[in-house]
Amino acid sequence: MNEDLVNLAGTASEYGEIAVRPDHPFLLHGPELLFGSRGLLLAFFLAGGRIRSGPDSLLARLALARLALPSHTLCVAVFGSRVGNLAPELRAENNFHILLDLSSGAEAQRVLSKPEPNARAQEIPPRVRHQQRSRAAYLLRIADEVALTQSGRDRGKSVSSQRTRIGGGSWTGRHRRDPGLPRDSDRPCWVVGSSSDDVRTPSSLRRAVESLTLRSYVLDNGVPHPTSSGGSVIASLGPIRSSQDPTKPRRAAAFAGACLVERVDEESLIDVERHLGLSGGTQ
Amino acid sequence: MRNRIATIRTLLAGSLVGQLAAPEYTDVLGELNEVLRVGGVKEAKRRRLLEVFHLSRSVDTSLRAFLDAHGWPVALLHGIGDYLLELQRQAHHHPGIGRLPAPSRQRYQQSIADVRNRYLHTANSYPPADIHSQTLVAEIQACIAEVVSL
Repeated sequence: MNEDLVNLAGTASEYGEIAVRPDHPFLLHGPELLFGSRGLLLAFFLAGGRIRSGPDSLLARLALARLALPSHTLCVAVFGSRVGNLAPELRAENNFHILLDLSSGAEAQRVLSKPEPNARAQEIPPRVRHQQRSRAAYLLRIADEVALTQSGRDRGKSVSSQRTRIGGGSWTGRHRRDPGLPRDSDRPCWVVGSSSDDVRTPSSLRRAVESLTLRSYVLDNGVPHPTSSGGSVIASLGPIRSSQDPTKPRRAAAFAGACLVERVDEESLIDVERHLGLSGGTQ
Repeated sequence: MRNRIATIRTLLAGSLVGQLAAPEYTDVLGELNEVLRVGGVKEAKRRRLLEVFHLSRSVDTSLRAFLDAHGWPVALLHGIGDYLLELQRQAHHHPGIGRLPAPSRQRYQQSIADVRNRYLHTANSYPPADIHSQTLVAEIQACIAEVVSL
């Protein structure tokens, strides 16, 4: 674990409850540290240039975390010390409520005891939050129904060996080892895994979820504004195992705006298209 | 499990429930601690049932404390089904609290209330495998996380 995160967590634990790398039921990759005390909730993101995931990934995580966490949560960009300087692409002074420079003495204690959010990062309009929640709940229900239907029948014809269309876009599962965008589609489908025997963990969804988030939201002064209201599809060629929380892959994908279909076959694609009202059909 | 419990504890501490520090808040923290303690029970079916038992009590009390803290008259509400329905309907305006989407309410009613009632009210009924208790535990955590962020 990052040494700065360990130190920050140690300091925060003296002030209230903490969760290091919190396991939030709606987030595959949330903030690095969540702190709660007497109604105050802080979400810390390591935001320095030496963090491997890069600015786009961090902005996608920020957007989803802001939607998943209570509206009064203050999001803190952590930089300095070993974490490195803030990447300019983050526009951190606009998108985060607080900037925490770890190289500056007792700054962490001040943020934990008396945080002073900047005026730029705004609250998410209640309408946006409610619409996003409603869509997530609807997509999760569809994903559950598709999974239930799948479990009641034999596995159908594999889609990994032929071109498949979803909602007007096309992708070829066989050639796509990593999630990526299909061609010519407003309703993108991400493919996870390389074969139907490829058992994955929920973290394999992260790139797909982050790509989807960057495509589905524009982050403006910390507020993720949706660019579309429809649902997308994440198709996993194999199963995704989540031992402690069996529903988490479907739940987290739905929260990001996608219906996750595991062990995808032609019938399940047709099923999910029907539920989502997509017109593409399979070829 | 430890990190999931820590996440729920932190979310509650950062909510109005944690701010008011009502007795129910302390009770919920106690139940969440019990969930971790029973993780050491060797007999699997007892462990699963105890996890379900303590988390069930924590979600009931968390929702009640949340409603109470935000000004709902809770005296006539009698369990998770009532609490979820109130959060969906919101017959009276509660500033700053969004409605619980109908599919979420239906989901938690079926995946938490209906399932746990079977285990807690029927003799010799236990979650038959870890995946059953884990699914119920995950739904309870999702419910608490969704409600405190409405």
